Amino acid sequence: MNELEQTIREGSKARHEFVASLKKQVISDYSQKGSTKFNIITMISKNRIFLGAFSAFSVTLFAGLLVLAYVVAPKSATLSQADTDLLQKIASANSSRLELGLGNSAMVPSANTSMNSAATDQSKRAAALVYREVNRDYNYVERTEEYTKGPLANSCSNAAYVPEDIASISSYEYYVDKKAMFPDKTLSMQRTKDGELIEYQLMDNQSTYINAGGSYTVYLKNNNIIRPLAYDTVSAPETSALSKEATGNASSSSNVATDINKMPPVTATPSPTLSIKSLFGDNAKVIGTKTENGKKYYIIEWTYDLYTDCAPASSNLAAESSVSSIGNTVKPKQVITVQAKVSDGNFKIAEQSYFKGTSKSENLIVTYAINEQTKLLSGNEQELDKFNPIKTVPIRTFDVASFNWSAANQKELASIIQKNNIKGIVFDSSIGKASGVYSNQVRVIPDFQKYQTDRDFYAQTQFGQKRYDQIVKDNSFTVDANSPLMNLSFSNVKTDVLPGVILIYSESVPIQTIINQQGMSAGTAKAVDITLDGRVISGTQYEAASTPNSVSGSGGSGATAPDAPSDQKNIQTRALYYVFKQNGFHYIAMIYVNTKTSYSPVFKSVANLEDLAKSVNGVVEPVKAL
Amino acid sequence: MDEDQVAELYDATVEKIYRFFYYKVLNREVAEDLTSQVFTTFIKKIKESNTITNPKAFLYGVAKNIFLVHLKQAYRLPAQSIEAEEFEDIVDTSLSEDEKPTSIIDMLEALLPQFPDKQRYVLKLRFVDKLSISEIAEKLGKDQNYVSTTQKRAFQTLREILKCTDPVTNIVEKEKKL
Repeated sequence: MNELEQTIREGSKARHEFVASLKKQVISDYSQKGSTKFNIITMISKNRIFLGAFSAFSVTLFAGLLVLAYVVAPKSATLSQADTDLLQKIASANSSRLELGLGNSAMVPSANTSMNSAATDQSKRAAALVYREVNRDYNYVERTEEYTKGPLANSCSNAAYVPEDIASISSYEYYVDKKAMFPDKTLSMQRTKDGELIEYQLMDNQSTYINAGGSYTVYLKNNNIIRPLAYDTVSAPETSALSKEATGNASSSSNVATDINKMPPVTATPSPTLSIKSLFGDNAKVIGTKTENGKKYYIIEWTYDLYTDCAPASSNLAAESSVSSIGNTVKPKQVITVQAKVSDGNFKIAEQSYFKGTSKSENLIVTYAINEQTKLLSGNEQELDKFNPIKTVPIRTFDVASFNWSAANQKELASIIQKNNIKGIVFDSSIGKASGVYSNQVRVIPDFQKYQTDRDFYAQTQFGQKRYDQIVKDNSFTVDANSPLMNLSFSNVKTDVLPGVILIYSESVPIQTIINQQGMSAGTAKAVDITLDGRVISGTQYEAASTPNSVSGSGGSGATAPDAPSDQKNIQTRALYYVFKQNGFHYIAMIYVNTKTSYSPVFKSVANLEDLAKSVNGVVEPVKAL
Repeated sequence: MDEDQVAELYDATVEKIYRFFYYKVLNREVAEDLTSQVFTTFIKKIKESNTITNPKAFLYGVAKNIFLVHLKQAYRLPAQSIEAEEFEDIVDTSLSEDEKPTSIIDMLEALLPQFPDKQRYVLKLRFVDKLSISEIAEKLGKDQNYVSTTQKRAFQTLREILKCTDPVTNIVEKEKKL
C-alpha cells in the first residue's frame, strides 16, 4: 500500500470516540421513550460542518494572504457583551458572503486565470464536500465590489488579494431553491478602472458563457460538471420517498424521506463565539463608529499573522520556501490588520481594508468596497433577464465534457515518437513492468481553450491587446533542447530491486548536462557491462549525488537524491543510474536497489514504443454530462 | 426492539455505514455527520412506530435516503431510484475493511482541486501521471528536493482535507504544540 492509499484509508476507520459517543447517544435517545431529546452529537457534527464551511470561507476570505501565509490568532481579546453582540450581528449579516459566491473577494479570479472559470469550478467541487444547507430569506443577490489599491499594494500583495487590472466586479446570483448552497445562475462582470469590460461570465450548474469584449462569446458546455466521488455503485439519488424495502412493515404514513427533508439543515446556527471567531479570529475588536454622509458605520478590526515577509504576489514561490512546515518552525513575520466598516442598521460590511502592521493610511495594501442587495424573487421578475446570455455577438459553442484528454495526449505522444524515431528500451520483465510512457514535450490544447489565444476574443482596445499579449505569454511553451525526449516509468516485480524510470535523451545532449539534471554523482562513475536483448554492451553506472532517504522518508537534508518509492521506505536502498548509448539516444535507467542485493542491469528493446504507450497509458473516456 | 437489540444493531452496522460514507465523501467528519444522522433518524422513527419488523432493512433505508439527499444537495444529481436492498448489499458487502477502495486515483483526482497549486501539480504528476520524483523535478525545472518537500506538504494537506480539520483551529493547535 503506498502512502497515498494509506493516507486516504486512514480515515476509513471510524474514530473510537465517535462510535462510542454516538452509541451512547443512540441508546440514550432510544431509552427516552416518546421524547425528542436535543441531540448533542448531531449538533456537534452540524457545527463542525458549519465550521468547515466557515473555515473554507476564512481561508478564502483573507484572500491572497492565505495563499502562502498561515493564520493564527494567538491573542484573545476580551469583549464586552455589547461588542460581542455587535460582532455577532455583523457575522450573521454577512453570512451570505460565506456562500462561496462572488462576493468572496478571495474567490474572485484574476483577469489572467478566470478564462475557463476554473477557479469557480474548483471551488464548487471542493465545497461540495462540505455541503451545507443555507438559511437565507432571499434567492437573488446583487453585489458590487470595488478595489482601491493602497501604497503597499505592490510590495505586499502576497498578504491580500490585490487585483492587477480589475477595479470592480458586479455579480448577480440566483437560487432557484433559496436554501441551496450554490446559486443556479451566476453572472459576473469584471471591469477596469476606466469601466472597460475585462470579462463577462455567465454560469449555470453545467455551463459557462464568457465574453471578453471581443467579436464573439464562448459557450463552454458542460464545463461545470461536478463529478460525484467514486459514485459508481449507486445509480442516483431518490429523494421522494422510501421504498417499501426501506420502510419494511412500517406504517405507510411514515414517510422517512419526507421527514429527512424536514430535518434541520445540515448546519446549525453557531454559537455567537463561534461565528465571531470563525469570521474574524480571536482578536476582533470594535474600534468605534464614524459617520459619513449622515450614515453611521461601526469600525471593527482584527489581525492575522503572516508567516512570510510581505512581498509581491509573484514572489510566492520564494515566500513559500521560507515557510517550512507549520508546526515545527516559525514565528510570524508580519501582522496584517484588517479593518472593516460596517453599516449601522443592516450590519453589512461596506468596506474592508488590509494593512501591513497597524491600520495607518501609509500601511494600506488594498480596500474592498462592497455593496450588496438581496431580494426574494418569484421567478418572473425583470432581474432574471440578465441571466440570459448576451447575443450581440456570435456565440461559439464547445462541449468541454466531450474532449478526450488522454486520447489527445496519446496522439501527441505518438507524433513525438514518430518525429524523433525514438526506440524504447525497458527493464527486463523480471525487474519491472512498464507502467507509463510520457514526454515533457507533449502539449495538448483542446479546442475549447484555443479561444484564449485568439486575438478576436478580446476587445480591439489597448487593454484588449494587453490582455491578449499576457495570455499569449502565459501560454507560451518552449521545450528545453536538453530535456529528455521520453520518460518510461515502471512498476516493480520484486521488493529489493525497484525500477524507477528510463529517460531517453537525444544523443546531442552532453552527458554532463544529464548528470547535473538527474542528480547523479559524477565521481561515482563506473564502467559496467549492460545486457541488452541478450548481448553485452558498455555502459556507465552512477550513484545518486547523495544518499536517498530510503529509511526515514524525510526530505533528505538538502539532498538531491530521489525519494525512494513511498511504499518501500522500510528498506535500505540506493539509487543507481545506468547510462548507455543506443539507437542515437542516451538511455538513463534509474533503479533503486536494496543495499544487500546484487544487481546486474538487463534491458530489452521495445518493438514498438507507440504500441507500448497505448497499452500502458490507456485512454480514459471523457466525463459525461450528468 | 429493546435496548440490547438497538445496541446490537448499532454495533453491527455503524462501522460499515461510516466506512461507506467516508469513501463516498472522502471526508471523515462529513462521514461522521451522515452516520450520526442515520442513527438519530432511525431511533426517532422506530420510537414513533411499533410496526417495524425488519429494523436492519429500515436502518439501511434511512441510510440510503440520507446518502441520496446528501448527494442531491452536494452534486445536484437528478432524482432516480435505488432499491434499499441493493443499497444494503453495497454497504454490507462491498466495503469490507481490507477491501481496496474503488480507485485511489479517482479519489485523489476528486480531491485535487482543494490543494494549493504547486502541491496539486506535484500530486497529479506523481500519482495520476505516475512520474518519478526525478521526472517531476525535470518537468518543473526544480531540484528533486523541492519535489519531495512539496509532496510531503501535499500529504499533510491531504490529511487535513480528509479529516476536514478547520484550518485556523488546526494551525492554532499545531502552534500550541511548539
